[in-house]
Amino acid sequence: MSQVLVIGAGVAGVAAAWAARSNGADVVVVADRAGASELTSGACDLRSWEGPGASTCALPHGLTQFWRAADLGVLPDVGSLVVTRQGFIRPARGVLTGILDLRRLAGREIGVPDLERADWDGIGLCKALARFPEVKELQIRFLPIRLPVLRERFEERCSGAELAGVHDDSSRVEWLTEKLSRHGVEGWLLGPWLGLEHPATPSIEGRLGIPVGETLSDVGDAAGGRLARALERFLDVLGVKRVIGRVERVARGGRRWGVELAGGADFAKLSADRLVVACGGLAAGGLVAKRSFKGQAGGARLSLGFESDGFSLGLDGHDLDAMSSLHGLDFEHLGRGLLERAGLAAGARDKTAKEDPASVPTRICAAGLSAPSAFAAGDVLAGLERTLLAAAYSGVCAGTAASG
Amino acid sequence: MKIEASGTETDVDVAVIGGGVNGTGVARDCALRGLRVALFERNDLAFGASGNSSGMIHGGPRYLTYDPDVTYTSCLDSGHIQRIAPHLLFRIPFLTPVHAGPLARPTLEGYDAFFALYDKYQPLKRGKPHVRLNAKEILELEPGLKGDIFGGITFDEWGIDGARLCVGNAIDAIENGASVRLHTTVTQILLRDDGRVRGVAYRNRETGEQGVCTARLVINATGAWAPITATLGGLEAKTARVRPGKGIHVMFDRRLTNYAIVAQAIDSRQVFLEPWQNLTIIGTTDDDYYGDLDNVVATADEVRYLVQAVARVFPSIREARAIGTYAGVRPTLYAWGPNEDGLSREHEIVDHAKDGARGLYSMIGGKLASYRIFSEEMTDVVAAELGNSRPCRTHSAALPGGDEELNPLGLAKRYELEPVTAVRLEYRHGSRSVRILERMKRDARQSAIVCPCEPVTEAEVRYAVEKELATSVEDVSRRTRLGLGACGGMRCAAQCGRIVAELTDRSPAEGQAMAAHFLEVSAKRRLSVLGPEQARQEALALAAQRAQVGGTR
Repeated sequence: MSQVLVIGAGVAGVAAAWAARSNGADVVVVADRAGASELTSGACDLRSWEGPGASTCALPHGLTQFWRAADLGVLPDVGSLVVTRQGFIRPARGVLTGILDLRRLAGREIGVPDLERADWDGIGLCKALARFPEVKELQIRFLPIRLPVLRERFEERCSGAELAGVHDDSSRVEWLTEKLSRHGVEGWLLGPWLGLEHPATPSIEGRLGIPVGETLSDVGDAAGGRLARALERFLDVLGVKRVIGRVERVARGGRRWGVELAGGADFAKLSADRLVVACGGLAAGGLVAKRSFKGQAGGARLSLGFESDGFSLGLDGHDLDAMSSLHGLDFEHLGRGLLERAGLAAGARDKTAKEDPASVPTRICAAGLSAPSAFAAGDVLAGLERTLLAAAYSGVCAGTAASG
Repeated sequence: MKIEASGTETDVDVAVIGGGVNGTGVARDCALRGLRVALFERNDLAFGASGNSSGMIHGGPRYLTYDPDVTYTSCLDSGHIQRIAPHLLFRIPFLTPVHAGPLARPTLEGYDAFFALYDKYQPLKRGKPHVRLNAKEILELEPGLKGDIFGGITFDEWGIDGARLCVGNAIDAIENGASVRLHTTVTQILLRDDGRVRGVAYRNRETGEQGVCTARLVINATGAWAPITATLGGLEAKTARVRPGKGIHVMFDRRLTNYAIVAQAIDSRQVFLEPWQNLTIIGTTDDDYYGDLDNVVATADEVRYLVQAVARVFPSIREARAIGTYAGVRPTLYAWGPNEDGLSREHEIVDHAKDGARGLYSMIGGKLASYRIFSEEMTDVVAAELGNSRPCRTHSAALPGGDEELNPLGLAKRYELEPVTAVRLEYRHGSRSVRILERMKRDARQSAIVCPCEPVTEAEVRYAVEKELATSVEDVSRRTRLGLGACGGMRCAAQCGRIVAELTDRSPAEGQAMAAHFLEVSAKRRLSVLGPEQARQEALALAAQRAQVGGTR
């Protein structure tokens, strides 16, 4: 039985763990703090949502299997339409559980609570949504309804995530459901407040028999927290061993990969014969921009969040190691795209992934050669689209390859 | 386009081109004297140098040695501006450290004597006299200062938000009968066969609407654009020649010091770090500029030049969080030969009658601090030509909101606001902040904070659109500083775009595009300051932007 060590427990790391576990591997996941998965808005995209056909593109088999197994949300063939808290509508390939998909609402009258929160404007939202052609086409009517969703004074001012946490209490959800049931609307659109541990929406929908859901989350709102909890629970279901800690060093010794954790605790030496690096891109802190050139302040270069013997960072197929200015990376000319595209360069598709023609390359390149038995997934990969589904799918590919 | 045969009856007396501080200042002065005025601005109010300056109304100590009259009028005018817009000015005490060395004592003695002379003018602008300090006293005041300090002096200046000053002048002009058209470019300065100006032809750059406004006189107040504007009347560019000097500033996310600190750059130019509103700003550069005036951006080289200079006296600037840059182009008086710093900051009025265009004037040079006196001089000329003998009132008539000083903390209590919200609102709007507060009271939804960094409420965004001529997220940002804080618009641009689209009858998709555009532009202005620590925040902002409003690729 092969042993696979996964660094990172975001959607990519968990997908890799699932794929490796499904292939019968023995899997350990090492992870530290929150990453990009915890910053998700709740909309699920494979390709950037602004691209043509992005919301209806075909999904690779491995990805849909993972999504179903982990029960993270729905990815309808027709795509989804989601609402931001600011009152914009955008297409998405699917939604995480809890987010309202407007495509489910055709011909309905939808209630939107009007309540006293500084980050919520129910009346304005209804007005804004009514102006979208998609809403006219689907014949949805949004109705602001004065609703006592908030029970305590502090709930008017606390963060959205805190309010979501309040709705982890089932008696509170019951109370809310009762309030919602008093109005004769055919659906409800609420803010990102319905549960932090679990989405409360399935139980509310079950009781009311009409669609109920949230707008998208902003950075730090409920959707990301819920996704993180869901992924955590899924790892438990899979029987994957979890180690909490920050990887400080990755090195190859003999035919095995070893990692050292910060603090040098009991887990200081973990090793496995296969490695999946899924520690996130720059936004998640897996890639870090570091000062370099001792004594020369102002210099910057990118590096992985841990020291490594064999990996090199790439950008558009070039190594990022060499810098031709003492001041480091030139963000001005490389542009903001650098922040999204930079990462570990990945080599050819793995043989074992051949049956899925859509599979993405995940075998890590080191100094022009493929690093033996080391794979990468998610935002840490150079050039990968920075979307939830792309991260998940690269995880599936990496996990499959690592356990093959 | 309709063209009248005779120019006896015109739409306005004076057509002003340019919505910077000189354009709006002269439009206001003309309007206050009862002249009929129309102002045309190609971009937005304060789009150029006026909205991208160091944000100071200073007394011009640098003229003291060779032209004390200029210092006198500068200080006097600084006092006038305080009187007409007390809410917009805030004190910035400066500190000039002198480093140890063979010349330290004579240098300090020199400064001491120099500023003793400057003290004579300080009462004109309610400034405090300078103070000579020893090294220990300096480090007590600003512990962040490093290096072997011998001593130093303090002197007193006043800060201002240049964009608010332009908005105030424009609004007051409108309230006195002027018409102000923004995003409207003048396509031609029309002349009669006899060489007399007849008016201007214009085109709205957003709606495409074209028209002609006939005028008895035309004023070119377009700053660095002045030579280009002159060519619209068929004149040679050199008739309104300026020497454009680009200046950049870097913004940091908080006030790092209590004093503005003067530092020396590698080429011995003076640069400074100043606490400004709720930020710290370092500036500035002065380099001949030959690029596109509509698109001036600070480069990484310029940023490093400034940071290097400031870090020599205030090293922790390297650890501070830079949140953006801005850049403008000074319309300095033309001269071939001297380097940029040696150029005169004086202003002059060009009468283009000598170039064959009677009734066309260009306002060349000047600085933020001298806008009022420059506008008065210009208005005196046109008033005389038009036979208007009413006196100038711009030194005594309050700008909008400047008629009464309110206590912002009292407002906070009365309207149940966070004190910081009230203080910032009162700073921008003076006594008129009550109008915005009343909106919030009438409609609780308008109390929602759109931009938490500044902060800006929904009522103020709406006010900027309905009463202050804003038509885009960028316009609102210029008027309220929305989206210019630490989050770079990540939390407010989308919401602001939605409100602006709704109020200006545009589709939600246009509101979304407007927000995306604003975020792209501010990202571009951040790229040149991105260090290791900022890179991660930038990646996060990018991810949030993509999820909310998309990119503008």
